[in-house]
This record gives sequence, structure tokens and C-alpha cells, in this order.
Amino acid sequence: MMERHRMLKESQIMKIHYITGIAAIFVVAVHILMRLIVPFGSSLEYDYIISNYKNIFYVFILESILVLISIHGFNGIRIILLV
Amino acid sequence: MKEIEHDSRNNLEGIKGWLNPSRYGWERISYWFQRLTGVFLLIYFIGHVYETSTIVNGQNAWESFLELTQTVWGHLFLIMVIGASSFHSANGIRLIFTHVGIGLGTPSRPDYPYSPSSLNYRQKSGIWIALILSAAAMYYGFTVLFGE
Repeated sequence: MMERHRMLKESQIMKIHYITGIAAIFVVAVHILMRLIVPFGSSLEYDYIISNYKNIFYVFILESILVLISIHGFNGIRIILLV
Repeated sequence: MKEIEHDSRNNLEGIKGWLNPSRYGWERISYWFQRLTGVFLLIYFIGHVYETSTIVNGQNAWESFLELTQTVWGHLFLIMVIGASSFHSANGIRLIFTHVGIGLGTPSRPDYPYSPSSLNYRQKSGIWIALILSAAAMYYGFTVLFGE
């Protein structure tokens, strides 16, 4: 008996694509706001960035960006190759 | 059974057809921009993760890498990233609405001059809103990056 492959339907993949895209807008907005709440030059200082990385909420935001953009971006490449 | 001859059919434009926006409307240019900005932002994202990862090598490594990016050309590149991400987000939201059927208009009989109801003022407005938001975000980015 052949093994049944459980693949996502195209409509489900597109829902994931849209959800990751909209979620990415929010988390990237928070990421940019963290650069704008202090003068831009100061926001790139080593100590300020290390203090950002010690904030667990911000670390969660950065990890979310990594996951969401990776899913959305590489699925976007798949869509470009298909359509 | 007679085989279909394919040699005489020279109608495959390939990537040239995809890249040629001259004979299409704003909708096609928007389709083209959405893909170009998407690929550009994915490349930037990978580069940005690599760039910021230099911080694990200590303060000197971070500051020497920052000197490479905090230049006039580096700031102009960031303004392009701001424009691309704003357009991609705003136009992406328009495409989500379109995909779920919002803003497409009601179907009608195709009469001459065959203007499809789906390419209506709502779609055109959405494209213009995306372009205007993108220009405004680029202007704001310019004032932040070059205003210091």
C-alpha cells in the first residue's frame, strides 16, 4: 500500500503566507521603533544594543522576525517561481 | 497519431516577457514591483542578520563593521530598503483584500472596450496609496538618517 503524503493545500499555504506577512509588519514595526525611541546614532551604540538583547520581550520579537520573515520570504520565492 | 509541431511556435517570451512592463497597466507594474521588492528585501534580510551578528565578536568588531554601513551610500541604501518594505507591505495588504474578494467589484458581461471590472478605481487607488506611503516613509527615513 502506497504511503499517503500529507501535503498542505495551496489555500492553506497562502493563508500562512498572508498571516506571516501581516505579523511581520507588526514585529518589524516594534524593531524599528526600538531604533527611533532614542536618537538614531545612539541606538546603534554597542552598550545600547547589548541592553536590548537582555530584554526578553525584545529577544522574543527578534526571534519572531527571524521565523516569520524566513517563512514569508522563502515561500515568496516559491510563489515567484510558480506564477 | 500525428505529433504536434512545436518548432514553429515562437511565442515563449520567458523572463523577457515577465520583465517587460511597457505594454501593461499599473496593475502589472505593481505585480512586478511586489516581486522585485520581495526578493530585494529577502536579500537585505539575510545581509542584515549577517551584519548584526558581528556584535558577538565584541565592541571593536561591531564598531568597525558599523563604519562600513554608516556612510552616505549606506544611508541611501537604507532609504531604498525603507521604500521597498513600505511598498511591499501596503501593496501586500491590497493583494490580501483582492484575494479574499474585497475591492474586485461585481461581475458583469464583457462588452467592448472590455475593461475588466476587477481592475477598477479601488485597485488603482490601492496601488497609488502604496506608492505614496512608500514615498512618505522614504522622506521620513531621509530626515532621520541625514538630519543628524
